[in-house]
Amino acid sequence: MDEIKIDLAAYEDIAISDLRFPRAKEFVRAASYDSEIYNVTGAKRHGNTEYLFLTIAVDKPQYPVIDIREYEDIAIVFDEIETDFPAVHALRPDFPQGIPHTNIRMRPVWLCITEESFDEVRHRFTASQFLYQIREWFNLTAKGKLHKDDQELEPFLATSKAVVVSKESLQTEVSSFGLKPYNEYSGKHLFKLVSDKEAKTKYVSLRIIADPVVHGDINWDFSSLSYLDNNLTYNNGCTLFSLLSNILCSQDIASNGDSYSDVTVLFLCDIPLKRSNASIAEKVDTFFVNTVETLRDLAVKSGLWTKGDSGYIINPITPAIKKYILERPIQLLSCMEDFSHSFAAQCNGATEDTCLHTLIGAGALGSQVLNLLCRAGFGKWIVIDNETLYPHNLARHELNRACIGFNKALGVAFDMNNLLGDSSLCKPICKKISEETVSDAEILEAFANSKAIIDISTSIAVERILASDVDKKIKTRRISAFLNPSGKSLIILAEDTARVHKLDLLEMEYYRLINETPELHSHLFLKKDSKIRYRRNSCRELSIKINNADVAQCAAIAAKVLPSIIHSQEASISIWQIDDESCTTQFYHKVPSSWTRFSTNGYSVYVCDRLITEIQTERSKYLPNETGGVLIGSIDILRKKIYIFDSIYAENSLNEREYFIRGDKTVLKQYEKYREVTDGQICYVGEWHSHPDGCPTTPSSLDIKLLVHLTEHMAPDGLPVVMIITGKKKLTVICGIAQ
Amino acid sequence: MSHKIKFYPVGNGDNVLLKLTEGFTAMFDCQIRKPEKKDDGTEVYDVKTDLMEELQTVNGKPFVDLFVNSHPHMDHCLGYKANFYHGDPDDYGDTNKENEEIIIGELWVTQKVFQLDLCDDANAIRNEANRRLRLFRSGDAKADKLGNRIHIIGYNDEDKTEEGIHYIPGSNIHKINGKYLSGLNVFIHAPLKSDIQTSWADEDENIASIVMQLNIISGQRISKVFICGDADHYVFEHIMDISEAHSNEDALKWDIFLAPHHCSWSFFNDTPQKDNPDVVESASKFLEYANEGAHIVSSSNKIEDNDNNPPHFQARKQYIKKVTAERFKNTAINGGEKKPQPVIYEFDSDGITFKRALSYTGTTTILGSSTPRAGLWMKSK
Repeated sequence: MDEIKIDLAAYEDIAISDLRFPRAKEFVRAASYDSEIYNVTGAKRHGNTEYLFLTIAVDKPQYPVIDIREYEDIAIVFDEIETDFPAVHALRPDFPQGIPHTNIRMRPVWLCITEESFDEVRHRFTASQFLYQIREWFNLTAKGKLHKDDQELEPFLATSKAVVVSKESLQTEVSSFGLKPYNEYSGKHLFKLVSDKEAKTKYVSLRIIADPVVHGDINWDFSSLSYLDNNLTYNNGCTLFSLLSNILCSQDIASNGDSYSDVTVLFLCDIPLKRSNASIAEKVDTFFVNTVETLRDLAVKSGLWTKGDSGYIINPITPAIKKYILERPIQLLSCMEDFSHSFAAQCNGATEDTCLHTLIGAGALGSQVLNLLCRAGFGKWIVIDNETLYPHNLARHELNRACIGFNKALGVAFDMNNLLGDSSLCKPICKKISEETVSDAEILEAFANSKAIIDISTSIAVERILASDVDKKIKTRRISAFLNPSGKSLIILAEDTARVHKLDLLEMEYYRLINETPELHSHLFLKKDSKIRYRRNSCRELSIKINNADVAQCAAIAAKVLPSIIHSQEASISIWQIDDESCTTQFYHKVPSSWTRFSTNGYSVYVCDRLITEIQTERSKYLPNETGGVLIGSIDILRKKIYIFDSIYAENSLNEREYFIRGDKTVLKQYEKYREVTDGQICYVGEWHSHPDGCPTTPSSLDIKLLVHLTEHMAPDGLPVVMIITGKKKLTVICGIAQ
Repeated sequence: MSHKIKFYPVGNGDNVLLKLTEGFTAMFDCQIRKPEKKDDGTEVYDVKTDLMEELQTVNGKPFVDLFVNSHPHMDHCLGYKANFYHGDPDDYGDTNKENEEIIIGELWVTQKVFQLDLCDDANAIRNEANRRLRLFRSGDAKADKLGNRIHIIGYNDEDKTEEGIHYIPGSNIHKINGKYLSGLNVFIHAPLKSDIQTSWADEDENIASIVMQLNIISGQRISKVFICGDADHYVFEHIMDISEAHSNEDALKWDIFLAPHHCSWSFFNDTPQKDNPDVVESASKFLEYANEGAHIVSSSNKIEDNDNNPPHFQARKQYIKKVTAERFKNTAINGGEKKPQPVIYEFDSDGITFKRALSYTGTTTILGSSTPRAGLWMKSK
């Protein structure tokens, strides 16, 4: 086995007090504090390098797994210009080689003390800490625990050159292949695997699977074939040389030898690595070996081929020929896994999700969320958006200047497909979601095939369409994510998988949550001057001034939580509010209530069950008298839906056994406040009152008069009004509409 | 996580703590002194503070599962009265808590503790042992509760035993303080019947010391620790005769041997050594039962080249002959003579590992004590 030898004995001995480098002196000082453990025994100098020799006392177990002794002699090597950790060598002549966390095979054995980067720890690097780490290296190595059981195996080879290869292409049978520079900037360091026809250089290529190797010392870029020939076998013992000589001794090749004057040999080697001799292979390291010399030069210069009358004559392989070939330079290239959907998930410590999802809205938030999810290997996507990317969008959008003028869905789909090297990952649909397009076959197919429809259009209209107007046969759950007007809060309304809690109902409970949470009372405010006009054609061509970093923060939260929301079966209402000064996030969450639907006078009246319970409690409190209050909700005139989810009570109401007169004190004030904090999204929808026990909830003559009164007063607004009468067990809901 | 044993630096005395990964703790003798810096600059190790960090608590009360008093001599029980709780555990109050009094889950003593002319700390052990025995003999169910359990190791004055109380030589104990232990069993070697009688006759408690082999189990590996109070070579001769007669050589093997009587010559022959310089056969033979890589611990003052006993310089030489100087650990100098640190071993499937005492880092040292006076101090005239 080849090994590099350094003859430390040949270097000049110096007194410890003659060490010049501050770092070396620091080590001497640090060792002196624990002289029973670190015994400095000498020093040497060679060129611009100083060597400190120590005997280190090891906590050796009674029965060491690896042959580490109670006292080990080491040398610590200091360079005048410190660019890396001091090298540490174990000096014992029989110190074991090839054990985990040792570097290149050499004597004295070179220990790999830390996996950290020197640049990263330089500011806090101390001799005492490093000495401690050296001792821990020995302590743990003695117990065979330096390389943790759950730690990934060491690579077989570390080289500066690499070939970017997709996992899929390695898993398939590769027969004829070649290499090509990754791009014009990658120089001679980064390549990609291509077919032999695509490669600029000609190769005789061969893939081999080596016999399993116990991981351990990392082998650094060997310049000739001999090291690999000594240390790697395949097919239970065949060497790389035998493989190469088979090629060189091929009669077909030799007879056409001159046509191989520009052809090199390229091996693709799979090396199964195992943790110990007794274990099975855990992973496969793959790398490429390329002969730098051409096939003809190798054969001719080594004396294997001599020119004959027709082509070349193959001579027997002599030791000299073998030696010549083994000493020829080779190029080693490790494999670098290409960025793919599955690799993206792995890099993010996430589980890959290959389900299809539909994203509606590829705007600022949508594009950034999609970007983050794709980079984490989450989802395959259909992206729906009909908008064009304009210059002002670049302030917050994931796309760049090159995409200005493109449809946003098209742009992000192209971008994501390019990112993950998969043209089928994102499919764009350049359409708007509206009452007209909601029955579009392409959109319906997308909805039907998706696991979730994620609406990031930030449009209430789209949300209502998704909640109510999509073909009932499509059962796909819908999730709506949007920002508040200042862009400092992210809201996610998620339907349950059974779609009991539909988006429109969740929207209503979101308003109630805002009203009953004082910290959210400015949630929907929009400051003056917060809008920007991006074109002068229309008063609607406005964009809101939102900080790009806030959008990014909200997008990050959305990308973090959406996978778990999608995988959960439950409905939820969630708000994340960013504190502008500390940038911390306050989380508000609500488990949605159920709703009861009543049909009356052509309207569907949805009453939140939480409100019904509250009304019943209020009724009980006033028994045997009547009580009541104002109903708060929202009216969707287009869909003839009335949502009722809250109530306002008056302090000066008259609660009698036979009647109830709702007072007026503070009612309007409370209502206006409610409207204010919900940015006018809620409205007055009617009144409720109770009937005593034993009385029906059918409207009395007084009730009918009240309903008429209310209806007449709502007539100018063109809005219906609701009266609810609650008894002990029953609830009557009547809708009054002005004719 | 590994099992651990700590031999505290307490001069000529024993204070050993065993901690198992399953949460079990045991102390073998005690020698708890006030931490101080002596005139010669050496520091008395703060055993109590360390124990408070090592021991578990129940409802905020520190407790040790097992306390073994090998024999009632001051160098094996100093500080017992002030640092351990004696009385009904239900009466443990705020004052006891403030004093950080350690509750002993189960107490092991020998018959010798019941004699009257003992030191204060041994008297306190006797009183507590009597309280526990009374509880047991009254049939009170509380007798089998933490803080009330007791066993006498060996026989009583009449060479008899009482069921449920005595553990006699040859016993292998797996259940301690109400727990069946997966990481420990204790083989009792002594005190033997004859030694108790001799002890009375010679007024020598040392020879009636508890001698036991701790079998510390880590997976497939069983590490063996011999703890033997101040037993002398006669005791060891008897122990070996009996074990060998019963073909129970395994009970004589050891990975760690706490040198009896603080590295006294009495393990090797009668004292004084100058009159009895030869090593008796039984001592040599016992040392041969050492497993590969075994260690010997001398829980004693620093061993110097003089005629003092214990610790005895020639005894140290004999031990080193067996295990090498590297594997002979003197508690007085471990981690530095001025500020000795406990001798610690960890036990795992690789056997025993001696954990070297490392110097504290600057920060720990600075924050762990007050700084010297700083500033411009004007001496009063």
